Amino acid sequence: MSSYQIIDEPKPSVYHRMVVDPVVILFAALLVPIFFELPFYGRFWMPLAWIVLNGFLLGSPTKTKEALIAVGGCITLGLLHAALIYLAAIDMEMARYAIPYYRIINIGALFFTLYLIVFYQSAPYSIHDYIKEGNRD
Amino acid sequence: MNEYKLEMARRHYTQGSYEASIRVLKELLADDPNSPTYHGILALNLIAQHRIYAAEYELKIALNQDPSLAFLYTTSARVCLLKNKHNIALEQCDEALALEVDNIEALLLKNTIYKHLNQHEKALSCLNHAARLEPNSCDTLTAYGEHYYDIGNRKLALEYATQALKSDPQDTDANLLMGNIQLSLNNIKEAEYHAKFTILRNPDSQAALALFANIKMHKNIVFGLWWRFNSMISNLSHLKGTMILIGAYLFFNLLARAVRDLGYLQISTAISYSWLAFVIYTWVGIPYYQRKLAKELEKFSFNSDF
Repeated sequence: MSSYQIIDEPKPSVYHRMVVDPVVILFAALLVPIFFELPFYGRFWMPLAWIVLNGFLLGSPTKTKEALIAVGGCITLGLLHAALIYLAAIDMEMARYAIPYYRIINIGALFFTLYLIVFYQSAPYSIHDYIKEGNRD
Repeated sequence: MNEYKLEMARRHYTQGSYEASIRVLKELLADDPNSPTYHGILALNLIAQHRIYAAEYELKIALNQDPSLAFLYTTSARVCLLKNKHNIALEQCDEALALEVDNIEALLLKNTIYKHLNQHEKALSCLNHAARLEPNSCDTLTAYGEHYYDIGNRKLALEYATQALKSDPQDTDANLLMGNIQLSLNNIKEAEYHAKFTILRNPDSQAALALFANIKMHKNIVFGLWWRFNSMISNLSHLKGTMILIGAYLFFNLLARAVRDLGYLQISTAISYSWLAFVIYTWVGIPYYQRKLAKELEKFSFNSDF
């Protein structure tokens, strides 16, 4: 029997089995860099790419918003990096002094972006989980 | 068959089983997507589940299908009230009253909205109109009780709350009101009973959790502050919680680094440990608070004396 689709319910793709709880991605972003050095600054862009992909696989109704937030986060991280390079070009000593602060702000910006996307994706994920449990029963 | 299912959906909604109600309504809408009643009742369930965006969407569909159903406007007013759009909520209530002059729900909603806007005379006027139509309904009696409680007349507030509970002992608003009144009269046991009852019926009720925390403060100020703090934290929206967490991370870590660069290593270490304690508390403290609350509620048993 076909069922009515409520607007905020996710429309999972064919690959819906690959969908994970967005909080798991957040934990991975926190813990993996402690044990592994990810190449090509992977620590910053890999969690964002994964969570955006997760949103598309989930069929999240806010997937476009999530992607835009991720892009905004990447631009912010890029601008911070550019600011540090610019400072190094002007005053290398000052840039060396600023590096620890830059790292703290960078991580803050990354996790703010990630948390925002997790916030948007959690609701459709919990509905998706509930529907999956219902279908299993 | 559809009438029976609609009745079932309505019953699930009034009993608080919103998932069950939504399941039935989805079946009804699969058969008949052009029914504004089904969309309207679905919107009510979605509001109860805090799915405001979806509720607005359903109401938009319903109003396009039939703009002459008063309950759609009152439901729309509820959504506007949740979004703090008080003036639009008032307009929606007026639309409902234009269709049904004696719409109790619209009158009581207007009373609530005027109270939010601190226009107490207009609130009382709407309430008096509702009372002329249904003087003995639990909602009207509770609204009167809240009015007298707000203006400090505890005696009358207590009378109205008692009558409201006689009319419907299971009503959460009436129980919450009675809990607040009993606390203000220092009847802690009764206040605790009504607070627990309300939380069990409506676990998301911020007002009930705040009442329970106030009761704890009454018994022991230190533990009470802990309860108050945790009930505030657990009721924060995700966005506010995220901003506080990231803000705290930046504050603690930048400060620790700056203090270290100034040469105060011990103070820097203390700040770092404070940040660690804060993080540990966010992981451990909130779940512990929720477990303590669940344990308190386990001991609750319904008592008709109250």
